[in-house]
Amino acid sequence: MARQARISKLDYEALAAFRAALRRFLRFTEEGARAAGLTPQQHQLLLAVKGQPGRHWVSIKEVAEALQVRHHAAVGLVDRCEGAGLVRRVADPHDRRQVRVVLTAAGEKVLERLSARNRRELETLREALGGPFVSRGRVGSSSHATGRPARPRSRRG
Amino acid sequence: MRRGVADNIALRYKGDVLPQTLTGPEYRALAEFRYEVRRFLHFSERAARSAGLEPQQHQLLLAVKGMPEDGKATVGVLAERLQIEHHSVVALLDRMEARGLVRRVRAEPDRRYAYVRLTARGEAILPLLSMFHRAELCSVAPSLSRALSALLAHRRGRARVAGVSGREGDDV
Repeated sequence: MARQARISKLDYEALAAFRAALRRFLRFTEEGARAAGLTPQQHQLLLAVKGQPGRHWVSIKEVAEALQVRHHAAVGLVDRCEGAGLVRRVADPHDRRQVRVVLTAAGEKVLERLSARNRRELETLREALGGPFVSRGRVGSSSHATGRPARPRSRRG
Repeated sequence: MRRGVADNIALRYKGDVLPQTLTGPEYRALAEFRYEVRRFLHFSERAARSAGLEPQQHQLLLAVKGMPEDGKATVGVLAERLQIEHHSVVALLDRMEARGLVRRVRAEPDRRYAYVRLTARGEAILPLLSMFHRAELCSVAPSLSRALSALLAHRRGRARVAGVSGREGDDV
């Protein structure tokens, strides 16, 4: 099978190395969250609020999308974070039916500590990703294999 | 394997000290990074299931197949690479051996140790799955890489780093 021959031993090694690095990073962040008294999901909710571009709040719908969970799961998560004093619900001034989720001072503080810690751990993950998957030749060969538009330039160029 | 980019990055950030607080754009980059990772993992789980595997089984097949040339896939090594407990690897291997995806081989000359090999059936499942994953990862890598650049550049390296890996992916 010609298509299968396109995956080389080095491809497998790069895929496996990336996943191993990713798992180590995720485990590191989960342990950090738990040590700070948060569940990993609560930590990710705080980050989703803080990382929202251009404003300091998110809607429940945005929580669900950011965390890739269902609406009712997002509601439950916000409930628990509110109970723990990490976020607050405030009414949308333009639409009273809509709720905005904002960070409390305590939520800000714990997120800042976790984020600084986790960032330092990202170096190794970057190496596992950057080399094999972002370089030109590899990306080019993949787009060919999947039927995406080929790169305009020659792979050797 | 192309090591150029990673080597450059390692050099670039050597000695740089990351600060204890993040700026607004850095939080945004971190959130974006986690979002893309979550989506990639969802993709991966769906792909494994559509191939008839539990996500964990797929990861074990990949870990064995992707062992560096000089490495043996022992239970201890797999536990580290999969970031799960020793006994969980054993249980996973039992299920996969029963399905004919892997087999345990006694190591000579020290027969106390077993390592894991893929069966023909295990081998057959992997290429297509890995091709999908490689394609997905190549398509998501530029945005992951841009987010990482923003997070790890720090103030000193910011100007130089802007064009490192993100831009390389943009022209795809």
